[in-house]
Amino acid sequence: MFTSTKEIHETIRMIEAEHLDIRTVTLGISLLDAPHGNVESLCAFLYEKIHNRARRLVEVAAGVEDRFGIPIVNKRISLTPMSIVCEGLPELDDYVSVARILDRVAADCGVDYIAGYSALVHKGATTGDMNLMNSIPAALAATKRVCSSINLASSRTGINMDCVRHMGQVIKELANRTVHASGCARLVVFANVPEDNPFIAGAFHGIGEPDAVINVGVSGPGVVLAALRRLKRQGQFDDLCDITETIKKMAFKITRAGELIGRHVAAELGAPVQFGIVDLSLAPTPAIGDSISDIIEEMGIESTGAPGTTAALAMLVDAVKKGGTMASSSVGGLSGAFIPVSEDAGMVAATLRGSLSLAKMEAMTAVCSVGLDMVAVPGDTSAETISGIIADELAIGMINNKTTAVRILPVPDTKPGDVIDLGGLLGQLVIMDVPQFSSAEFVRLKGRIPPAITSSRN
Amino acid sequence: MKRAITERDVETLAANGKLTVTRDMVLTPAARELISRKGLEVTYSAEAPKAPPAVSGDQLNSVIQQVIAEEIAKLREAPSQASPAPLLGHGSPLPPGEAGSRPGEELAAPAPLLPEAAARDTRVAGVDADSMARVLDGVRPGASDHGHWISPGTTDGGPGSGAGERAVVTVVGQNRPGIVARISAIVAECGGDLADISQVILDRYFSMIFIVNLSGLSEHNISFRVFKERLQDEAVRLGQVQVLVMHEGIFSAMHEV
Repeated sequence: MFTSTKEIHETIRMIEAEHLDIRTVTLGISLLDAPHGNVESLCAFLYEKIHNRARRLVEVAAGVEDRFGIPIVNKRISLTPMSIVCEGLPELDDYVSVARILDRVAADCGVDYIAGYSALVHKGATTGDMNLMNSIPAALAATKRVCSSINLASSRTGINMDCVRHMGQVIKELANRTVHASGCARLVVFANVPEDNPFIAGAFHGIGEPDAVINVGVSGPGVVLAALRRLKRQGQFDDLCDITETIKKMAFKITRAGELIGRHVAAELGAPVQFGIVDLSLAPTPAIGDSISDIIEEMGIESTGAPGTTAALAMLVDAVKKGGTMASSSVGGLSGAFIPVSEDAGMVAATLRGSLSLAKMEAMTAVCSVGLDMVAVPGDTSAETISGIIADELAIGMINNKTTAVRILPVPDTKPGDVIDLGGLLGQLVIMDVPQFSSAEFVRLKGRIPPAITSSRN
Repeated sequence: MKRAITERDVETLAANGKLTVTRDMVLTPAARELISRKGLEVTYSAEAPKAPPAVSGDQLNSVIQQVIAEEIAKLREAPSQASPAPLLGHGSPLPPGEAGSRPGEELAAPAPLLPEAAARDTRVAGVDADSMARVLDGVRPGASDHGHWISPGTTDGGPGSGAGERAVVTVVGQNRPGIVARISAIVAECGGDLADISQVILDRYFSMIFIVNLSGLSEHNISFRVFKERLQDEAVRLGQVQVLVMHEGIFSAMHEV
């Protein structure tokens, strides 16, 4: 094809000045062939299989990164849900041993996070599922790289409130075991969890997936922001359709870059590794200008959280999906826009200004790709209140046939407005105000919230 | 390896208002501008004896348009016979070597095509759109955006297929003499073949794009990474310039619909 000098310059500008990068290349590994029942043989198997598959991941990804000149920020591993792999282990300590082995193999492969310490309990929990959930505080406190996710609800099955209640307690316990509740940044609960999501902490290798697969998560809020600013400078920022067109074009380019990188990494790793999907989520970082909140504010919202925020976000997310699905037939994962509060400098600023509240965040999650992400609340928030927040969020997902999630950090000894710096990509936590009225009685009700009538589709 | 002919080279090579361009030379855009500014008479080496002397931009444009129209008419009649040769013979101001640098697969581009379609769909229209864009941009005084040929279809394949791979080397920074010479010398040392050059100068700053054919790197036992490192080391030595080396695949992936 004929590439103009302008297009070459545009590509370079996107990478050099606007933070375009591949956020993560995640290798999914199936562990369905793991031996059951004995912790020693299981641990030996896990180390050997994961190490064999993943030892070249970082090296290969670095080579592809070098070749195409586009940074790959994270190289990660996702696994078959550990509750399935570990089913039959008798002791909670065995689960912690497995988590330690995963931490070790991740370190030895040079990856920063390994995900899949997970269970799918949207309808009910097995003994193994319960063991895994009970082991989470000890397992995550004993490791640095292991990430955990629990699917608590689905549009087909409703919301498993028994496990929602239980996870409220697990989150509280984990928060108390780790500094600034930082362990809770590695634990996320879902409704309608996707099986091919490459993003941490919610990644796992679904049971409908092949032996080994490369899934790619792209980034690019900075690119979209810069494009909107250019549109403004050119005096063409007055029509909503023009704005969505601009976002669609940028999403197209970002997605194409992601697919190219994913296909090359998969091919160079060789069989049985296949290319899976591109998750075209706009994923912010604490870097200035790499923010979803800045895009919303660029659209004319004075401060994120002001009335109009949900509409602006809905338009952004939909345009990203349209551009991305045009670019690739392998779109999957969460795909949309992430709004993790601490990881987005603009969201942090909006929270500090008082324009962004927990209630507004919840409304925004009805139209964005995930949910209440990296939300910090005071440490004295009760387990029942946390379960209530989770139930609300999962209800949005269950009723609307979409993925929603909660990654919440009840930081001990803090009050609303406090700021805690977690460093790196996790960014700055601003403690949000939580409504003081109780939901304890509702949360204690047993069983499942039945699925919505829309689930009956056959 | 083609030699890059810069403004300074034009000054030294030109004798009595004439400049002889041989097949192993590539004129930089600045050199082309200097030639037209000074009204130098360009002659081509024995390999392209029919090349006429330089004429004014407007005259040349109309001649080229006419020739392209004729060529497209021929294409309609004989789709598989597409060839760029007659066009060059009629009066391209580019060195013959440049026109020959198109990837082989483009020569067999399917036809028939309307002129508008040819301009729009350069990937399919291969030969004619290429010639048109190159020639027209090449002769327009001050033309900076003459574009580059990038291999299509890289999104579908696995890792690079070896032969025929190309890199896009972009040099940006403060302008001063000698940058083209030093960068192209490194490219040559590594076994890279300079397929195309373009540059934009804005005040004291410039951006220069080299399209480098990498098939010769393996003969010199040089990997893409080493090639990149050598160029970046040179940028450090030059100072105040940045060199970016990227496989062409990223550009076709992002910009080809």
